[in-house]
Amino acid sequence: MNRLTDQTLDIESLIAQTDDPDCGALVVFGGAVRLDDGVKAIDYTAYAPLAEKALAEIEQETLQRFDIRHCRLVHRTGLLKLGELSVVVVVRGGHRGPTFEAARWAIDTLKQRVPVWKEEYYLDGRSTFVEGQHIQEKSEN
Amino acid sequence: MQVTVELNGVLCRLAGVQSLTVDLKDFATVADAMAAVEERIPNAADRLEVTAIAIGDSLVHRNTSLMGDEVLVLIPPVSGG
Repeated sequence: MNRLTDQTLDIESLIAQTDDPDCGALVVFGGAVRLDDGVKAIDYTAYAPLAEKALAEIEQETLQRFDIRHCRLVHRTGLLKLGELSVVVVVRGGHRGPTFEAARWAIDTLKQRVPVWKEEYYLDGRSTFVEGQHIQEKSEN
Repeated sequence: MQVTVELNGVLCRLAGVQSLTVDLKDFATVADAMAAVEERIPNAADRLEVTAIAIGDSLVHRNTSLMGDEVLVLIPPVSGG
């Protein structure tokens, strides 16, 4: 199961994969390329061996931390145009409270731990790498 | 000994290449390799200070000893999502 892909992210497929009659709550978060200060596209690159491992660890840690039943994370690589999805989080649980909290925690943690970089391309032809944050290691608690 | 260093993100742009080979003395550490990288791409010195290092799918500390056949992967500050 690839969590890092250069293919268009398929939310419907992730929803189908996590279908569960015991879950009364489904939260889907998608991050998309937005029109911001002249951005026309973003090129996402990643270090795949560590990114795949980190995404799998965050899924498992989310399941352990919150009262939910399913968590899936996928991240896109490659040159994405405005509106295209770069990341999708799908969480299912019995109730909305922990399901919302889990999805928020998962995307926040993904941004801290997964080795992905984005280079913004602007309408005027310039490009620049987005200033990121020092990668965090898996917490022990 | 020689160690291969793979670059990512802004480090590729600053270096103009995606990987480097650095020569190190025996019993060198990851920190020694990073010093050699900084000599090769001095314009990335401030970025290298905040760069993590991976071998395979694990992050390693700068005091890790090297055998000479490792591929060090440099992980500058991340910006996924």
